[in-house]
Amino acid sequence: MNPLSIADAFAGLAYSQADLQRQMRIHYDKILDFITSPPFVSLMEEMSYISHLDRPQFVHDVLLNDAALRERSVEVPSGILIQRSAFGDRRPTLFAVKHFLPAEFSNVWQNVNITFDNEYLDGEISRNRDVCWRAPLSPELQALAMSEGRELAELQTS
Amino acid sequence: MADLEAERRLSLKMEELDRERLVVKHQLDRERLTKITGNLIDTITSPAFVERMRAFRQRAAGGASFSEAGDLMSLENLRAAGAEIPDDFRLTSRVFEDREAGFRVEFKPPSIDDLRASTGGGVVAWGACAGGGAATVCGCAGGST
Repeated sequence: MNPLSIADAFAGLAYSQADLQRQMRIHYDKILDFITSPPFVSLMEEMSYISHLDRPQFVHDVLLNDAALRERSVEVPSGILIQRSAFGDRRPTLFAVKHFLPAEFSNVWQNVNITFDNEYLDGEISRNRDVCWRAPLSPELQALAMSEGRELAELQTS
Repeated sequence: MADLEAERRLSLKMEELDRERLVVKHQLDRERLTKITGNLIDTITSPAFVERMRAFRQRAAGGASFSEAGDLMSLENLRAAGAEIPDDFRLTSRVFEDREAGFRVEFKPPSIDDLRASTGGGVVAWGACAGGGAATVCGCAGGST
């Protein structure tokens, strides 16, 4: 099969590959400015000292709590979101720091993010299509399951 | 004797904390994260990836199933379409909690089963997520239905 050309892939889009790459870089840099700032690094150190079973609660109580963040001098910049999420592949994710791309790019990629997970062994999370494209758990169900030390891979959505 | 044991435990604890601090410092190293995200951007803006993601977004707007999403966005199908994808890459369905709407269930319900029965709100929509980089802190990009 002949590889698709850049011109064909971007035909009909109001932007070029370079435009998309530039916007992604700009918004990733905003995220990196935030998560590499000393207060956020200190926050991640604080989280790393607690048990992986307690981290979902810490995320709920601190990462998703503006007052708790302010107590730690963590100021979330405008446009940046801290959110919980869940993947179809059931990797034990804790939270993500996300920024939407400008609306004109949303017909392909909508957002860029850096995702923070509980520890896992890469080989234990499948890349198999049938596993990765299952319905994800709800983030709160997943958080509770992680706090109880449950195997996420075994949990189904219905 | 008891003092010596307490001192030994404290010393071990301090060493453990130092190790954790180094791990976080490495994970949140700016240069490392810039490289990871740069590689991710190169991968997901390739022609084959853009064409598939664009088709996914169009199909998802009409209510695509997870199976249909897998047809379009599986690693094997993207590679077969000519996309160059690193071995450590992941492509998966994903949902985000809708914090903007203020929805957040109590963290400690009576049981997982109760929570499973009560949930349904709080998630905006599901979508596709492409991610690269080492486990625990990785770069991702996505689009939802």
